Amino acid sequence: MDLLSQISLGLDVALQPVNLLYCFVGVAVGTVIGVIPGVGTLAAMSMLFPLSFLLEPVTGLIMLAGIWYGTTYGGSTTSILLNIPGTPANAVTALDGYPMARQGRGGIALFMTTVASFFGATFGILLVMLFSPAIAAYALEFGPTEYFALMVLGLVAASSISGGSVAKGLAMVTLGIMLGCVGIDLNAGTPRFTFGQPELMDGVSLIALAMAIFGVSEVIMTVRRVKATDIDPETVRLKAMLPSRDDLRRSWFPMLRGSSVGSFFGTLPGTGPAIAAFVAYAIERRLAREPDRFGDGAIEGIMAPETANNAADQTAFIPTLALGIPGSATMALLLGALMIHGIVPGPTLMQDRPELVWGLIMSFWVGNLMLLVLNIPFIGLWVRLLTVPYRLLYPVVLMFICIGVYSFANSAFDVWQLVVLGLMGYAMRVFAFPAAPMLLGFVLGPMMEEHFRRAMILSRGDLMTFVERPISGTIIAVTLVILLASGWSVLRRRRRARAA
Amino acid sequence: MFPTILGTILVVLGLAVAIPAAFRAGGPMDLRRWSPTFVLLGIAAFALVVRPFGLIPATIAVVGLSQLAEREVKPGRMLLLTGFAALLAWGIFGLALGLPMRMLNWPF
Repeated sequence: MDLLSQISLGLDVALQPVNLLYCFVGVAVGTVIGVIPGVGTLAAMSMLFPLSFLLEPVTGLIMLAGIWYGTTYGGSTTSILLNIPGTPANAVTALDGYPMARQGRGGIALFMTTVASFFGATFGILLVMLFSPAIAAYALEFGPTEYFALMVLGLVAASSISGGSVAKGLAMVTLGIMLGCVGIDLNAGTPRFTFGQPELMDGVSLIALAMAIFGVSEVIMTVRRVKATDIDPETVRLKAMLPSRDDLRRSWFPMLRGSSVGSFFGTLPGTGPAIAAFVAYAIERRLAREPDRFGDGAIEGIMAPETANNAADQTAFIPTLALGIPGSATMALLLGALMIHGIVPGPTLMQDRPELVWGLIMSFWVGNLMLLVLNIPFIGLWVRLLTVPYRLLYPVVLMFICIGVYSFANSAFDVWQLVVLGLMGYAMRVFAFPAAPMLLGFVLGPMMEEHFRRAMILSRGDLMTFVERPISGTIIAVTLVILLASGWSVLRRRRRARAA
Repeated sequence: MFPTILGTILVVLGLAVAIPAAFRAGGPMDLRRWSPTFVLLGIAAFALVVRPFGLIPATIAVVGLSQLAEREVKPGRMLLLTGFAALLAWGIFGLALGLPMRMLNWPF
């Protein structure tokens, strides 16, 4: 199928009324969640996750994806008006966005970041449309050995690049894969790690795990800490939002550069929109003729990161859709939703289910257009949401989490898992163990094991096969380089800290 | 074989985290007592109640108990929010989505 017919197939799917409706639900929920600090993207996605099983797979995916890129739109609002980033990806936006708001240019900042977000997303979607099919076609040649190596690379990169302790990140990936082993061994039929509990035969519940380590632990950490804030409604009037010609002129190049930077970092495992936004900001600052303006309300300083994070949101779908290898916990959750519907992600997905892949991709256009419309006139409304105190919010969030986990299989045991895993999630927060690598490992683990076993059968149990086959050998070499480089940077950081 | 390999990797990584930490001064631990207790108790109460009594009592259990995690507890406000949450749960999951689960039940 050529690109044009795929696009029209995708549009057919994305424009069906039910998909339009759930796309709207996704982006609206995403915007709200992005605006409210203390409820993260992943918590929001896992809350609506069970709802996606009542829907057709493509409809559910469209909704979940909408939440993901919707939060990045909404998150900039709080960065600008309150100096509190709604999501980590919007943190840099606060550097220049908040000063703009204090100078009375908050409305312009909000308007322009929405435009920037749309621009970045458009750029990212175009890349997804162009590159995913080519990469998937190439990956069709891969055997189990190459696949296993690729997954190892993805997991190692995702857990060691993102910052923090490398050993802790890798340990969480490994623990996640082990949690994925719980249940009936698909090849031998023996129960593993079930401790005689028949309920554990089906394995650990993905929804309980995701909600526990992202939702419950987040609530525990945030209770008693955030306070509601007052905002002057004057700054968000529609009239105060129109940018000057100078603002527009200054924004073009930052948007273009932000899109490229964001698209690049979006595709890499472990980097994602937060790092993309940070790098885009740093580049603008270095290129600026008057770098002193930065940090003091420079419009370039909000345009570049806001384009970059939205471009990264979209290009993160390239490895996820083309290879079935998620680069972040959010993408892992999306693939998890697919797998629960019995759809195996991987390079064949684009051939076997073009309506699903292209329907999802085309829904990005729809969703981003909706966000553009949602954001500009309704900014005042979103801002009012900020005045809802957290003490009213979190019990309701917990209720949604509980009902979500329970409703998936009508199983009280899954809710008990939520209690145990929630305690674990809280302990992970306290001891600074990252949660995202764990979810990645959990989702990829069973697929990895499958590929590992097949590779072992093909090579008659010779582990050297991973190094000897050229493609997989190269991938393993790259993995080792990443490991050594990140290990080295940790050592260097420590030595510098000791010297200081 | 696969879990054994994983276990071995995990032991090595565990040592890599633990051994350097023993030679380093650490800050005080930010461990909270009551927030995790009440949040998790609330979820546990939901798990206990939802099968025998139905969704609405379970909602009341989780929303009611988890509010005790807040610093100051005002009974009136608590009741109001709990009631609102129960209505919300019934409205969304019972009326709008029509999930196949019992809303209210008396098992005795």
